Formats: sequence, structure tokens, C-alpha cells
Amino acid sequence: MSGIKPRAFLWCLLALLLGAYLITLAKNNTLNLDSNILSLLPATEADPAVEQAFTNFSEQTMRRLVFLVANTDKAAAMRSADELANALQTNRFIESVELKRGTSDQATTGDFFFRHRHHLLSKSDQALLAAGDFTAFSDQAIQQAYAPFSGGLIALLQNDPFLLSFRNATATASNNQQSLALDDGYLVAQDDGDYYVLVTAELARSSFDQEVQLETLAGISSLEANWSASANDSRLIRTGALFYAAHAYETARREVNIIGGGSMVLVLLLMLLAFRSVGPLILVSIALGFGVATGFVLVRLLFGEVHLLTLVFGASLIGVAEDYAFHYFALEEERSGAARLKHILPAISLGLLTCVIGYAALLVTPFPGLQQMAVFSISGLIGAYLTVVLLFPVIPLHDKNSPWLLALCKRLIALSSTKGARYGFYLALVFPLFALASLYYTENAPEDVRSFQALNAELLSQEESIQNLLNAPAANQFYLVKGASPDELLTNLEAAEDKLSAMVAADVIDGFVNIAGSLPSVEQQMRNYELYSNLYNSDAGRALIDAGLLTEEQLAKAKTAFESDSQNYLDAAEWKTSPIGKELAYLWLDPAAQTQADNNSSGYAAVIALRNVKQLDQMADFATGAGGQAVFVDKVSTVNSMLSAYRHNIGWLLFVTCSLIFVILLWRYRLHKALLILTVPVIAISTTVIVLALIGENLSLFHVLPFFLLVGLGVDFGIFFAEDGSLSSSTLLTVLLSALTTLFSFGLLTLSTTLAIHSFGLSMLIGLTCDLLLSPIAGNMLVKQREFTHAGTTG
Amino acid sequence: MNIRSAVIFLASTLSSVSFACEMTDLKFLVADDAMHYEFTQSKTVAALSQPLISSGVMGLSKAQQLVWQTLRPLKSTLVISAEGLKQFNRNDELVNDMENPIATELAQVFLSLLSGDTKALDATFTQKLTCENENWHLSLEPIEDELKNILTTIALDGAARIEKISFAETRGDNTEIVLSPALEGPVENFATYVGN
Repeated sequence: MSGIKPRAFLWCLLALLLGAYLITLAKNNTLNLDSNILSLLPATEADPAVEQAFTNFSEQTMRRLVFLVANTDKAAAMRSADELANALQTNRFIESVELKRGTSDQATTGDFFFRHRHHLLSKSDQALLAAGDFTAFSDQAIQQAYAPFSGGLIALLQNDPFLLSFRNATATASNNQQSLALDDGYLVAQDDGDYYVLVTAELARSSFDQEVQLETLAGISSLEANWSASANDSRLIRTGALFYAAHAYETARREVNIIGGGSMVLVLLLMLLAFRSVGPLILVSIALGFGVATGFVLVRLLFGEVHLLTLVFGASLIGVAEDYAFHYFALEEERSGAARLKHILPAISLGLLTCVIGYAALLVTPFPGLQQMAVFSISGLIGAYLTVVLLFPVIPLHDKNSPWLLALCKRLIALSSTKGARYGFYLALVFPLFALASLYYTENAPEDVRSFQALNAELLSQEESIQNLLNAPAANQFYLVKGASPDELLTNLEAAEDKLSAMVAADVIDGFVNIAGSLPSVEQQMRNYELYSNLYNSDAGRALIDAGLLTEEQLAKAKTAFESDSQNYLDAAEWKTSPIGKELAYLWLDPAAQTQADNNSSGYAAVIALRNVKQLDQMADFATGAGGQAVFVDKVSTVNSMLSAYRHNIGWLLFVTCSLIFVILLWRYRLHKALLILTVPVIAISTTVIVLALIGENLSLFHVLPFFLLVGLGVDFGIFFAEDGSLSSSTLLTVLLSALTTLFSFGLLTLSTTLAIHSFGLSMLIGLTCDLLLSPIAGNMLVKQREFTHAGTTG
Repeated sequence: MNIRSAVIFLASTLSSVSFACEMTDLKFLVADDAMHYEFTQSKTVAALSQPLISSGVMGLSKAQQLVWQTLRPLKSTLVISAEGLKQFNRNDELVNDMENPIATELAQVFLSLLSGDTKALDATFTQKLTCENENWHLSLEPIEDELKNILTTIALDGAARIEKISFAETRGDNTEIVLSPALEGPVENFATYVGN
């Protein structure tokens, strides 16, 4: 036949292009497999600068690794911590490791606080100065002088009579490491007889880089193996995006293998069983391979990356995309490929269209993750369809349907045309009413974006213990404050301080970390200097002279130094190089890291980290005065409410989808037939709702999204019967085979430890089982309809 | 002094003569809520031409809490227990933000010394005991670098109880504390400090 060969040639060209592109990607290491859960989520902030700031902040925090080395023996815990730090230091992907605060660090801290002693002022000292309690300063200095080992402080007194640098240093230290104590240079927490030594590290590259994950994890586990081998009881508690990402990657790899591999094996087995020839086996593999490659390439092109969850979900495609090939092979009576294609083309084209509409429901959600899954599936289906249409006809086939399977189908047809089966079908028509009632009476479960995450109880509990021990600020709930200049930003941060303190007092949050605490704005530094000048002019200096700690000359010299120090402000650049600045630098978001589009407006931003948000409903944006605004950023909650809002509209969307498919059906079939075709998936969806409610599943968005696909696939089955003139065993065979493989593929999704994918698979499993049972009965009725309406013309 | 305590006193003197010099025989402070001592501290600091002299009272509670109250030149109170260190200013207000891990560790050393728990110090100090009649002299030298950086020796002198404690600091400063039993009642408000 003419036109067959050029079409096959076109297919080969496409296959070559796809293959070449994939090989190039793999060679350049740019397949861009992504395991970051955040890239599945939509933008949540109306202000793009805030969204960008969130991205920057999370990128920074995601590079952090936090370890606690636990042991009942403190010295052993410290030794193990040393070993861990050494092991991390030799890892080429780790930029810096923090373990011991050495004496040189302490000296640097001392220098820093001495240099800026006249401009930094703690909250409590501010209150003392404001109240005019200058004696408190001289008293404390005298008390310190008489305490043991005060030689250093006494020497300091001569240049800093009121020990301002010492006061600021200790106030800052106690502010930032609440539950950790400095012990022999180590930061140590103690809880329930165990000692915990803190080790932190910063990755040089992204946590989502597989190479980084493998090497880091290998280093850590060999260290742990050493510990348990050497009767050292040290335990390692860890947290960091890296560990979650590595787990997600490992889980996804395993699940893609199970779901993809399992589906493939079943498809091939059924092929062998049904068609008893190797030809179909090879062809269906080609069709599926081409489909998966198309899906991957299109997602990579459109999104710039392919998320691991897309692959896990996409693995179920194998069970759907084989349908077109099955229909092709089942037509054993047609010998020429072109004739076969001509026979099935309307059915498979219509089937493709309805499936695409089903998947398109995922495409219109505002979630990049679901969009990726939809693009992967739709383009994969089109790829498989194109293979059947373009390539198959040129390949000669000598397949033969298995006679005993055909016999089985005949019996099934007989069974499904019984009165009982038909009454069962009529009975099922009331299911939608039950489903609606169940939907009306059951309470909606709150959506949780974490269902995108592969569950790992071990990692979660370790993270929780670290959070509890360190009282560390949350990484995904914080305030964001902006400013046009660094100083405006600092002023805004300072203005937020009162409100935040009130929130701590009201038990809304446990605490907060604000840059303004260690880096005051210039205005604040001027005010601090003013307050200190009162101290220098008070009698407090006289008390020190009386106590014999200071001479007249020394005090006079210190006063002169104070007077010449008025302009010596601490700025952001210097702060960042100081020990305290290094510790808090992650809260400062550089303008360079922000979007170009945004540099005309507020260019500087900082995060105020929050410890343990207890009353989420009390958290809101607030004005910081002078036009500044503290924006509460809570990605998880915002996305969750977006999911909920989206679920509320899903009923309407489902209605629109069904209507659309109904119109398409009406374009080809009569009203009765179109209604009958649509009835099967509607019953299947209703049954799914009822069964989910009966087994106590909380209906989430991910249970509901498969409904669109159930409509697409259910209608698909109906179409095949409707297109077939009579209810032949070979059509039933095809529908059975397709349904079985689809059922199996989605059934395998329920094995996923990612809740979203599991839920999706569960709904598909229930719905498709129902489809499988109903479609032969409906098929029978469809054929009868045809006999009625077209009796004259076809008979 | 009644007969019974005279006998005990005699026995203890005799035993220290006959059993030479054993760590277990040393008498430190008596842990008694009602008992207290007076101290005078003299501190020689390189940066100052005159030594710093301070004095006050101290006592060791039954629950092994040491209350160290400086009265001159300025009242301040330090409470050392196994749980940590607490400081009160002249108005008996808790001053908490002057925490210093080295000070905390040294306070523990101090508590162990005065309560006679020399075992606890075995890991951190090498100890050398010499005796002459009923007088004993215990000198401690730190083992770890962390302490060596600030401290050369701690010396204790005593007979029936501790009489003198001296600290020689690595930077060259010296502190000498002389203890004597107080003539009058316990530390003022002793119970409130201990109870805190």
C-alpha cells in the first residue's frame, strides 16, 4: 500500500531524534532528574520577591547537614564527633565543617565585640541604661574582678571599664545557642543521661546531586560501621535535605523498577499467552519504549527537568499505552497491516482522545508536579499511538489468538448477557446516589503536601530529636522582611522586634532569631551610643576607681576613646565576616541572589527565623512601621490550603470533563449509546468513592484526581465495543487484556511509599476493577442497541 | 567542748599521726546547713599594683551546695551545686547572663575540693599529698590542655580542716583564700540561696 513506507520512515526519523537527544543528555549528565519536593509545588507568594527569597533561603538551608553525636560518655561522644568532622572534611563535596569553637574563634569574637562595644547594646542592658541604673554596670565589673581567673577581665577593664564588650558577647551567645553549652570547645547538649555533640556541615553542591548523596552517605555509614565494630556506642542523629533527597531517590528508583518492571513483565506475559508469537512481543516493547522516551523528552524540554515522582507515576503508563498495540494484534483475521490499522484507527484515535482529556485534568492543576505527570503520560500515549499507526503496518505479522483464551471470552460474553448481569448493571445505577451521599456526609480530610514525600519514619524521628534538642528554628515557617537599602532593612527588622517579643510572651512562638539582634541599624547604633554616654558620664566610673580596679588616668583615657568612637558603626559587610555574622549569615538574603526584574524595588531582604510555631492561626503578616512589612511565609500551609481549594472545585471540573467527552461521543454515536458508554465510568467512580469511604480512607485530592483518568479509560473500553459491530470474542479479549494491564500497573502504584502516588493508585485500582466487570455487560447492551437501531441497514 | 567531741578530736589526731598520709583521712569542710566559715581572699593581678582583697562567708549545705558570699568590698553571692552556677548581685537578684563554661567547670572543681570529693578530680588533675604532723598539703596540677591554659596549680593546706586554698594562674596571677570557722550563726539567708 502506498503511504505505509514513508510513514514508517517518519517514525524511524522521530525515533532517531529522540534517541540522539536522550544520549546527548545522558552523556552531558543533563538528564536533570530532580528529587526536590519543592519543585513539585506552585509559587505561593503573590510578591515575586518574597517567592524568590523563599527559594534562596531554602536553597541555602538545604545545603546544611546537622549531626548530633550521642553517647552516654561525654568524652567518647567528643571523640566520635572529631572522627565525624574529619570524615566530612575529606569529602570533596563538603565546603565547611563546624565542630570545635577554638580559642582563635573566641579571640576573634572578643575583638569584634571590643571594636563595636560602644554601638552594640543588649536588650537587658538597654533597660538598665534607660532606667539610669549605672551602678549595675560598676557592680558587675567589681564582682567579676574578684571572681577567680578574672585577670583577663581586669586587664580589659582598663580599656573597657564597664566590660561592655564582655556583656554584649555573653548576651549574644546565650541568645543564639539556647540549649547547647560550650564544653571544651564543643557544643554539647545533655538529655536523659546522653550527651550530644553538635557537628554541622555545609555542602559545596546541591543536596539533590546524586554524586554528592552517594559519597556523603557512604562516608557516614562506614564511620557508623567502625563505631559499632569498635564497641564504641556512639550513635549518629542526622538531618538535612540531603538525607531526605537520597532517600527519595532510592525509593523512586526502587518503585520505578517495581512498577515499570512489573507492568512490563505482565504485558509481555499476556502478549505471549494471547498471541503466541514473538513478533507482537517485540513490537509492543518498541511501542512502549518509544512512548516512554517521548514522555521523558517532552517533560525535559517543557520543564527543564524530570522529577523522580514523574517517573514513578509515569511507570504506570506502560499499562495504558499498550492498549493500541493490543487492538492491533487482536485483529488476527486481517492479514495486511494496513487493513488492520484501518479497522482499528477510529477506535484507538477516539480512545487516545478521551485518555488525553482524562490526563489533561492533571495538566490544569496549578501544581508543576502534577503537570509533569500529565505531560509525561499524554506524550507517552501519543508516542505509543504513533508507533502503532506509523510503524506497525510495515511489519508483517503471523500471530494467532490463543484459542482457549477466545473460548474463555465467549463464555464471559455469555455470562455478561444473562439477565442477572443486566439487572446487576441496572442496580449499580444507584451507586452514584450513594457516592454523593457519602461525599456529603464525610468530612474532608485536610490536605497535606507532605504526601508528595516518600515516608521515612526513621529520618522524621531523627529530625524531630534534633529539633527538640537544639530548639532549632523551623526552615519552612518564617517572617520575611525587605528594605531598599541594608540600613532600611535593618530598621524594619528592628521595628519587628517588639511584635515578635509579644508573640513569644503570648506563647504563639517559642522564640525567634533576628539579625537585628547582633547587627543594629545605624540609627539604633546612634541611640545605643547616646545611652552609653550617660553611663560614661555617671558616677559608675568613680566606683571602679574606689574599688582599686582603675586609675584616674585610665578612666580618662577610656572616656576619650569613647568620645572618638562615635562614628565607628558596625556595617553589614563587617558583620558577615564576624563569628556571629557567619552563624546567622543564612538569614541575610543578598540582593545579588534575587531576581533581576526586582532590583528596582526593595532589593534587600532578610529572614527572621522562628522557633516552634505553636499557634499557626495567630501568625499573620504585620507592618513594621515606616512602610515596612513582615510577611509570614509558610510554604507547607499555603500549599495545603491551595490543594484544599483545588479539591473543592474538582466536582465541577469532573462535570466539565464528562460533558466534553459526552459531546465527543454524541458526535459519533446516538444519544442512548453515548449515555451507556459514559455510564460505566460514572458507576466506577461512584463505586470508588463508596469503597474508599468503607475502608476508611480519608478522601484527598490524590484520591480524586484519578477520577478523570477513570472517565477517560472507561469510555475508552466502551468505544471499543461500540466501534466493533458485534460483540466478538476478540474485542472482548482486547478490552480484557488492556484493562488487566492497566489495572495491574495502577495497582502497583499502591505499593508506593509516597502517599500521593499510593492514593492515586488505590482509586485507580478500585475504579478499574469496576470498569472491568461492567464493560462486558455494557458492551453487550451496546451491541443490542446497535441491533435495534441499525437492524435494517446491517442485517 | 563536751567529752564526746574531745574523744573524737583526740582519735582523729592520733589516727593522722599513726596512719601517715592518706587522702581518705583529710578533713575538708563539714556539710552542715548551720555551719559556716569566714574567708579572706587576696588576689595578686599583673595589671594592678595593689592586691585585691575581699572577704565574706561561706557554707556547704547537706545537699552539697556551696554558698560563697562576698561581703566586702561589695556584696555578691555565688551558689555552686552539681547542677551549675548561680550568681546574685548585691540586692540578691539573680544575675544569669554572665555564664561562662570555663567558670562553670572551675566552680565544679571548687565544689569537689571543698566537699572533699577528690575522686571526682582524678580525671582532671594529678594530685600530690605531703604531710607534716597533723598538717597536710595537697597540690593539684591539671592534666588537660584546656585547663593548663589558664591554671598552673591549685594548692590546699589544712590540718583538722581546710585552712588555705591557693590558685596559681598560668598568666601569672595568684589567688589565696584563707578560711576560718565563723564565730557567729550561719550565712544570712543561707536557706534562700540553697533553696533556689
